[in-house]
Amino acid sequence: MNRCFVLMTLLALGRCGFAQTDYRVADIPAALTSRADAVVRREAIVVDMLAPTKVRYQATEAITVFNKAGEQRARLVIHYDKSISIKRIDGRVFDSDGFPVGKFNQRDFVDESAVSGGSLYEDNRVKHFLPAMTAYPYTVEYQYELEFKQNLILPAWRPDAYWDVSVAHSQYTFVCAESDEVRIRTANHVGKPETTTLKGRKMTTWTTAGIPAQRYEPYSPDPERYKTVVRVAPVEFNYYKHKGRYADWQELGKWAYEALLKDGTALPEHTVREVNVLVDGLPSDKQKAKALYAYLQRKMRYVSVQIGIGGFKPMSASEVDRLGYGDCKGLVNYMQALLATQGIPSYYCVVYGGNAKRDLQPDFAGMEQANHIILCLPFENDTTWLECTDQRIPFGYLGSFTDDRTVVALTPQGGKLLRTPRYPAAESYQHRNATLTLDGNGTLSGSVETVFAAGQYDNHLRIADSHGTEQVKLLKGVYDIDHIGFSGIVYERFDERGPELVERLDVAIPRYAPESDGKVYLIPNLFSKQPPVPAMKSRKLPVYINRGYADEDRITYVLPDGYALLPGQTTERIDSPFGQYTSSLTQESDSLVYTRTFLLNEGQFSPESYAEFAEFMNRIHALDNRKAILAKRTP
Amino acid sequence: MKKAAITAVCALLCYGCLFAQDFAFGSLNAEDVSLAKHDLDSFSNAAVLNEFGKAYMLYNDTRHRTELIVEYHARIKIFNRDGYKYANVIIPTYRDESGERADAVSEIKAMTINVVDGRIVNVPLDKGQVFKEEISKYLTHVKFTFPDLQDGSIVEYSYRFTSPDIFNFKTWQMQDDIPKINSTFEAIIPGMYTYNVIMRGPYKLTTQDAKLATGAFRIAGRDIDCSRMIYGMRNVPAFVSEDYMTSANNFKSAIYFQLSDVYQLNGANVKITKEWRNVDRELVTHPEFGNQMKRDNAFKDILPGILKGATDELTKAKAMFRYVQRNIKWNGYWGKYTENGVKNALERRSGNIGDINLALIAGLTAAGLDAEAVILSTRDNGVVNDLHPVMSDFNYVVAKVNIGDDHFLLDAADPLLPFGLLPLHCINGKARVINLKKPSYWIEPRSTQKSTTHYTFDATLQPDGMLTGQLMTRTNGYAAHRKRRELRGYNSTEEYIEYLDEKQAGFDIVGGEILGVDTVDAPLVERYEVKMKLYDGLEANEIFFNPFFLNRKSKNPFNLDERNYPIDMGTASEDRVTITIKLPGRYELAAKPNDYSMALENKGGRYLTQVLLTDNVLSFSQLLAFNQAIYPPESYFALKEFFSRIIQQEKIDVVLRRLDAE
Repeated sequence: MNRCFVLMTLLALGRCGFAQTDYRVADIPAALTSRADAVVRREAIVVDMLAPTKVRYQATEAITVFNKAGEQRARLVIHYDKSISIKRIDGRVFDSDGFPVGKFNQRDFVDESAVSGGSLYEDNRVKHFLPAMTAYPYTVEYQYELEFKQNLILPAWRPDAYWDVSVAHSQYTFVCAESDEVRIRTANHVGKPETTTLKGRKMTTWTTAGIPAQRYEPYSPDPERYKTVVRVAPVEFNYYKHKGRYADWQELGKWAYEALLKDGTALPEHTVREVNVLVDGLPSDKQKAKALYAYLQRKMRYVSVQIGIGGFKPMSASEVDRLGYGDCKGLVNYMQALLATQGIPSYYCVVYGGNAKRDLQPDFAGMEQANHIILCLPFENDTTWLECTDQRIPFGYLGSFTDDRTVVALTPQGGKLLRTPRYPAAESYQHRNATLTLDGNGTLSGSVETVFAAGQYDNHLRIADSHGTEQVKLLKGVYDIDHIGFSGIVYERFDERGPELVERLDVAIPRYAPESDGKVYLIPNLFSKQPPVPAMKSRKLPVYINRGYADEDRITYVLPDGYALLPGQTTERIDSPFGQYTSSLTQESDSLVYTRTFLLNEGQFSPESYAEFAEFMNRIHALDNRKAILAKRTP
Repeated sequence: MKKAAITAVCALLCYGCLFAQDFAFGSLNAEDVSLAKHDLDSFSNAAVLNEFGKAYMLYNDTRHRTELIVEYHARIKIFNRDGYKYANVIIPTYRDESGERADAVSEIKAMTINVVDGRIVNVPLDKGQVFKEEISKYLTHVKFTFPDLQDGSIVEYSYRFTSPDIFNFKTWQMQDDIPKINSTFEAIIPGMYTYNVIMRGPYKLTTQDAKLATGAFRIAGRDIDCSRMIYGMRNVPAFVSEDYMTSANNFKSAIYFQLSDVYQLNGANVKITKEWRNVDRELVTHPEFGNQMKRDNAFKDILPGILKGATDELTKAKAMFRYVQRNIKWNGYWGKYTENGVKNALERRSGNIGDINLALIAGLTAAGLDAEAVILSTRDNGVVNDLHPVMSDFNYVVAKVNIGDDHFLLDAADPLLPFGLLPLHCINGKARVINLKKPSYWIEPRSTQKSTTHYTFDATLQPDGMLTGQLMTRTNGYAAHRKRRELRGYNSTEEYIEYLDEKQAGFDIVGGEILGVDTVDAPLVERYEVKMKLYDGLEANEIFFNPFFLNRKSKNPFNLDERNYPIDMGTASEDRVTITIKLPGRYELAAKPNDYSMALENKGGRYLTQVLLTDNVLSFSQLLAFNQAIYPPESYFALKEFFSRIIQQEKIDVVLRRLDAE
């Protein structure tokens, strides 16, 4: 009864607010229309935790769309699965003067499967809708209500999550019983929430207003580091018939281990026998682990199937064994079971996988922060990490999907925060050495050897693993030079050092260096070309370089008789906080030697330094494409 | 009832014994085991060892309809990891809105066959691992993948597919993107149904046979004779997709069926599709086609407003086109039929291609103009069959308005298209004009405007080494259309210019304007004030200048070693560059790229460049023209060479030598 009362008040407040508002486009302050594809005129979200298995989510959103690009924000997209029911959706459309011109409801929404690409099956579905408007601007207002049947993962508030969209007003209210223990994590939000208590219900409201549109800026930090996020997590939760409580990663890890991982580690007898034979006689646990990883890579492949329990519980090891495939959870769990047969301990680790290095937040536990699983082998002073979904990579290699970030191990003792290894710039090298002969027609031919290491190890791994015409096609993609031809393609892997991948190619590039009026035009930098970066004038965000690397190229051109390099600027060196670049071109009797080194530093730099950064990169771009001119002496 | 069912079963059993063509499930041949990757070609990661399909009809007594049954069986060898994707099976099943007419998949049988230490190990598919994914309300995918895959695994599966849709019988793909050692299709067609059978692709059948199957179809207590056809092909190479190619379906070897006649039990012959006059009659009275074309009354009230001030036919047609273009938004669906109907689409301001363009036809008719409908197949849908009317080939409709001796083809679904220019996806061979009163006829739509871009750069080289001037770009046809689409994502031209300025590392755009953004019938003109730092100063006696910085090709779009299909660029194009640079002081041309004139055979294309220095003004002009939309496969190497020469030419500099320094 009380609960109802609170809600009614809330709704009434909401309604009042809207009745007074209209959506005239002319009323939007100029600061919010500047560079904006759309404006969130008003967003009000109420998350009411009525019970652990009943969380009501009510939202009202009004968005004004200025152009085609703004429509992606105006489309209402509701992802749902068996734990979410859609109670109501309706809305209205307004013209630029704020007059209503149309209405819609749930029947107008398109319902589709939301199985992500590469997945065999998932429970997820999506409903989406965008009103058909032929002229901009217009405003669309949605009102909808969802009900969640769990409270382990509650929707976070991210008022300015979209690029090029400004926010006039957004608020988020969380309602729970006064007695409910709730953890709250506020990131990048100024201002205190308003809290009121009425008849045993506690309401907390966060508000933001007047956020101008922010555009995407290249080489900027992960938005998670500077955009507003409010996360709410109850201590006591209920999730697909599992009950539990946690206040930190230790407790969440403990629960997850007990509920999701403890069972399902048994392997069939024949597999145990098989692996016993496999590791028999190997001297160390690490050697054994390596043999077992090779076994996993040979036998298992990655197939994603997400069903039930929110995609958190791995398929049992015996089932993976039987099927010969599994997703990241299933394969890590299987690998863990293989290791357990030899008494080798390992940790099932949840991680945010992606090119951006995003940490799981040490001080705020929550399952939704992770999207991937990897395995950690805590050998003494030799912690080893395994990515179990890739059949190509060497033992202990993570790559850019999960490197250098905080992850959480789910162990019988509870959650443990760990950090994955980083690939330092100097170790992530790409060394290239080529000797090419230039003939009188301008044709180049010779051999190229390139070594890819650590962070750059996997640059050409896919090419190394492909065959025949497919391989040549991929090579033409990375060595994109007109009429280039390849032969004698050899790849060699050195998993122990780095790891390293060595690529050896014989190349032929017909008529690469054209001749005109006795001059031969040659761009000596054949393969390593830095693309330009936009020269942004009003940079707002810091410059951020996610991952550094070190490239070295040395190309020797054997020249026909009588070719001489025309004098000109031939050595370059640029030192900057972002890295160092050198290039040189020298003639040594009948040959021309080109060298290029480029070290890019990892790190964060002030927004003001962007101009300098762009100049650095664009200068390199220009130098990479600089031409050398050779004079052909007539004998 | 029961008796009938039993008879059917008996008939089937007899079938099995009489016409067994299928290979035995799971019993491998020695060749299946020994076949290695390089036995077939150098690139395929999997191959179909054998494939058998049998399609026939059954009368469904409970639903009172004839259904198509397809029994499908395939054995595939997976050579390596890159071939694992061929072990993922997706069977699409369709249903109608009510679910009354729905496809069904049953009797899925599948297993992985591995050779382990010389022994053959079979791993069956776990039934729990067959998933049904509801993609949308009309489409469900039945999906599964094979267990225990290894390099060299053989996967084998079979299933039974039932569909109420007998119109296209079963399209049999002889060719796929992996090679097939053997593919056999058995079609058992009751005598009462006549199908047009169409073979596509370059390869010949290795088996073709037709026999009578007496009484093989039972309906209403009668046994109907069937014709039993066998189509077989051996050693079919993989189909390799390439760039600048229209739908792969145009080139892949396959057998297509289309129902033409049904002889009913009472002796009447119902023509389903035979000749265009039958189709014409059906389309003209079709509630979602012809009847929609006649909805001119839907425009009654708005007509005076739309045609205000328009006196001649062309102005009226343009006004109506603009109105529909601006007032009905495309909902993202194609189709030759209306989805909501013309009236509804006008009210809701939204519709599919059928809604929009049939509304346009109705509107043009309401305006007193002579308008017809043109049904066509889009580029990615493949070309249409022009021997028989195959209605399922057509997936799109546009309007044709006849004014005097001229006609214009119109698609109002894209608000950025000029009057009379069809979108590129509609330019795909023959299209059929449907007229409410006259017989239909073929036309071949072409893009009516060449795609042209003309860059004009008028600049001065300053004594400090800066190049400043005005760059004007004038685009027409699809080039202008592409640019307008790009501009649509920006609030103002200022924002677009800012974006452009930042994107161009080489030069700064100080200011500019864009004309004709909203007048889509006019060319789009961009005018920018630019500056470029070319040199740190002009003290040197010789300066090098590369004039090829506008419309530079740099990369060859043609990079393959062989090509088997036409190169389809969609439209003819012409790009021109004119640069004039005033030099500070007196210079002479010490060297320059040779003036160049190169042509493709049969006037297929031209590339011209010219450098001149007169009165201290350096001028450069370049023309790159492709005069054809489609080039035959034999032209591939000529085109590749053409681009290669352009790239070589672009590397060469103009060398200017100062005269007064001496």
